[in-house]
Amino acid sequence: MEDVKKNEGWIDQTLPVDWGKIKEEAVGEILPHHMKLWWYCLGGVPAIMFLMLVISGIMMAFYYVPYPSEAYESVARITNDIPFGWWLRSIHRWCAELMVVTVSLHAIRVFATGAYRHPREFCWISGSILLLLTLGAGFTGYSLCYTQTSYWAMTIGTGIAGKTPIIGDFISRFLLGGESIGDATLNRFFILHAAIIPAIIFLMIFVHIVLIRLHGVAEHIVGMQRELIKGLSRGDE
Amino acid sequence: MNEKEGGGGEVSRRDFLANAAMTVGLAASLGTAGYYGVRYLVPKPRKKTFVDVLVTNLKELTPGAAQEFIDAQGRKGILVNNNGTVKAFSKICTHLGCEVEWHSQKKEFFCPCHEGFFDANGKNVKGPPPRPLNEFKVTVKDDNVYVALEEV
Repeated sequence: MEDVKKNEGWIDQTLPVDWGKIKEEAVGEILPHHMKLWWYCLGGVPAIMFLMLVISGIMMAFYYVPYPSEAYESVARITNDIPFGWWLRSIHRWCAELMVVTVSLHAIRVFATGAYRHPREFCWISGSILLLLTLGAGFTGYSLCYTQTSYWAMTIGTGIAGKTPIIGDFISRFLLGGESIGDATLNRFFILHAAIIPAIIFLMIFVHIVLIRLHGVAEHIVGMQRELIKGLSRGDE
Repeated sequence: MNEKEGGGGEVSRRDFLANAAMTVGLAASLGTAGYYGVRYLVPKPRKKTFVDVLVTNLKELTPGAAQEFIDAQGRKGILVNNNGTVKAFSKICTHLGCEVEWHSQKKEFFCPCHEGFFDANGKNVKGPPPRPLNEFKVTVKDDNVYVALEEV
């Protein structure tokens, strides 16, 4: 073949990808100065938390049994019997809490600095969906441990959903898999928690990041005013 | 920085050392993570061991009386003295894990969540529970009541 260049290694020949360009795209973006402040980086933290939750969650799914009489025992087994199970479970739990906290702080920051405005409406909307999905994953995950508090959280949570006008009864029966909590409920919560919600979160993070990269970082209004004032006062002198 | 790996270009000492350090670091951390990952996924089977724990004595646990205890995993159990025979059961209902209560008059365990009933031997007699309550081994020695609890 003619396109095979002599001076390229085996990897470059078999996988003709411009790695340099990908690296440039991924980490080479020049950011404005204000992005060095930590509260402008709160969007990346939940993304990393999500990655860790996926890894630790897959590991725990090897042992978790989504069946009422087995669920609590299997969680206890992960915590007490399996080597490093307690460690994975703690990581999963703390990452989940931190994800909720950082997603909320990120939303507050974006709101406070006005970064949600035109033309970034869809960044804000996809972010809001991500916030709701994060809380949904938290609720379903909390229920999976199947302690007394999990059981009543399920009862109360599905009860609240059941009070939605018109479609409430449908939602509650969809979540419970019946009239009340039973064998089907834990299965449904497990599938929601471990498959459906993470898949949508992944998709939404992709959309969110692509949109951010297309628009570029929002200009920093407060900083700009300061620059403007500095410029004006310099002009006076 | 213009040479490619595997190409004919010279690699500077600085790049070589940086790449070597990166490779060693990555190999060490990923290797450690992989080792513990495998140990997590292929655990050694652990034998269950039980210890007789002194819970109460027959002066307190008179016939007809019941007494709660907590096992090593933090789960609630209940000791019942049914006319001289002392038995210990887990308080966790086998249906959906609610807490059962002992009705000393009717001599039965009752689960308030979905109206499940167990008799004095822990057998599921009425309602949704699919199997009997979990039972603990009880030893009575010199009026002292010991319950065999699983070690953590």
